[in-house]
Amino acid sequence: MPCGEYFTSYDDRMGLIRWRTERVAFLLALPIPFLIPFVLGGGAVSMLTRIFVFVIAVLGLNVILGYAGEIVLAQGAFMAIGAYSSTRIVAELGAGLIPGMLVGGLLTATIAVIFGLPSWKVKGFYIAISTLALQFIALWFFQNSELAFIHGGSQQNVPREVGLIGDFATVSTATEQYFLILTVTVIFVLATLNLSRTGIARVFRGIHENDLSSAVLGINVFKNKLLAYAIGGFMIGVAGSLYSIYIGFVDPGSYTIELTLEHYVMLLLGGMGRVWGAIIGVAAVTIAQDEIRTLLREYAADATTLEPVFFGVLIIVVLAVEPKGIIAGLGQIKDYLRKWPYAY
Amino acid sequence: MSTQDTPTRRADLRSGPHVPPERAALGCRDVTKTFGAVTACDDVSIGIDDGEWVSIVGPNGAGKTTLLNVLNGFYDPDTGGRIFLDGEDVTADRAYKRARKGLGRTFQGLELFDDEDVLENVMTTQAVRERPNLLSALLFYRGGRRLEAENMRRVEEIIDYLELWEYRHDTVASLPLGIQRRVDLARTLALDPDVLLLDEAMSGLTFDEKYDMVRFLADLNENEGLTLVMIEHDLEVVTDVSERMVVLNQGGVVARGNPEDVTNDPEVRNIYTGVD
Repeated sequence: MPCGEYFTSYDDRMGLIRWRTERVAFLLALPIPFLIPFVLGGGAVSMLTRIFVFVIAVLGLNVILGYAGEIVLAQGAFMAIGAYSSTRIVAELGAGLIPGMLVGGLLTATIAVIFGLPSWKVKGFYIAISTLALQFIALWFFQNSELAFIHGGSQQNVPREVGLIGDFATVSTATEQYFLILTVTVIFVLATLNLSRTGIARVFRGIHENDLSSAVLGINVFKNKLLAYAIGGFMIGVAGSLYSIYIGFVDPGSYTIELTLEHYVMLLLGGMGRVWGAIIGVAAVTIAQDEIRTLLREYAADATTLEPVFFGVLIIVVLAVEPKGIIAGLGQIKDYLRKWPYAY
Repeated sequence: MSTQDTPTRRADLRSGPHVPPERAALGCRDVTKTFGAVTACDDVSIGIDDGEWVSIVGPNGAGKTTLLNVLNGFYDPDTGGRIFLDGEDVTADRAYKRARKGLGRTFQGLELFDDEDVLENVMTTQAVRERPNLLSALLFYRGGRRLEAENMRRVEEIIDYLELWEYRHDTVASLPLGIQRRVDLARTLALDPDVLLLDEAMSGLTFDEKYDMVRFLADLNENEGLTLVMIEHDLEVVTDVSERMVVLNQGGVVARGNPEDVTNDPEVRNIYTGVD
């Protein structure tokens, strides 16, 4: 493992896969996601599909919260807007999944920007409250049957067989859904990794760290905050539309404040502001939830009600040990191994 | 009475701006700034010529930082006050617009991005000057990649110039104050400013650190033609480096001119020592 900086060009230093060990690990890991549906059972594939959907949503949250520092408590609402709008495009117009995802993402981005407008004057908890209002407005809106002419109905089924565009390239089985959602996730992970190493993410992080000095350095703070809302909102909206395809129906109960908090836990646990942190956080929380539930079920059928307690303790322990999340802890281990057997 | 204290010389010290603010590299005309009943700046007019090194001094509460905040756009002057940058009236421009027009600023309280390393701090400012469009950033292909490489090359030049290379990957919060002040300067230089406002850049520094800071600033002023406006309490540094001084007291200008004349002015002495 290299213990110094050996890059001979700036291009090399900016690369996503920079070391030989990383290249080998990447090549070895590459086939795994493609083999999983043929090796593991349906339960594992379903859980992975859920992880992929939430990775996109939490990466969107990471852009708004982790990069730009805006506390947005409307994750559930954003996903609901993406889910309901794409369901109308898919089920009623028959336009297909890709147009549905794009419309869902764009509409969510627009709503996110509108609810980001108060950031012109306020920040921190005030923004949190304004977006929390969106969460409750959205739930009221989607539960209101009199507004079905807009959202298409409070509870709707998503067709099991849907083409990517119109009737072209139909997706129907769980395995096909898995590969579709895997592909979309890879696209968003790459896009976010790319974003994180450009000036756009640096400017977002600058605003997050210190908006006063950002303005002195020539950053239009308000405009860049809105850009973060738009990018993050788009991603969360697309995740919402994929989530509706994954669970096969849309229902306001799937997009409550609990979903928002769950995504916050995922991001905080994995490591806020880091793409790999978000991915690790989503995977860790989803797997831990599943394992804790299975463990509790072995003792008593109603013991699963204790799941939040176990889960809460786990989060407190992790954050007490490493507040910057699992990714920071892994970074420390990597640093230790890099320098070993020396201390520095 | 010494020859320096003749009525004529004293009149010069209280006369108007050395350069008309409307034609100065940085100037302000009739700037008053009040906060409720407190007048922090009282009818201040200053003109700073291109390539000059000017120091603004005064006791605590004289209105120096308020004036700096008005100049860089944090505060709007009260009605009638005007701010000029390179001959252009920028009174209506907000801070970020003035920064993009070439007005850099450092902070007494060091408003750095504490959790980022030195390289990222400077790269952030560079990103303001040259940044890819969204599609190019998301794809990180050709144009976007080339731009980021070019930005990194330029930032490394600034880091080398300010002798910060050994701290490049250190988190800013972990660095000593002297190095943090240098990072603040590096970050502002990445903006490629024409005029640099320094808010007590020597505050808290050791003798060696002050020497280094002055060395960098003198080089920037003499060889790069950077106009420097410095708020400073250390009169020894001020008189050594400044071409002109402006003395503020209770919000108003009480003296201006070359350091020798200003420091010998009885009113200035009285402000600093309480003795005529």
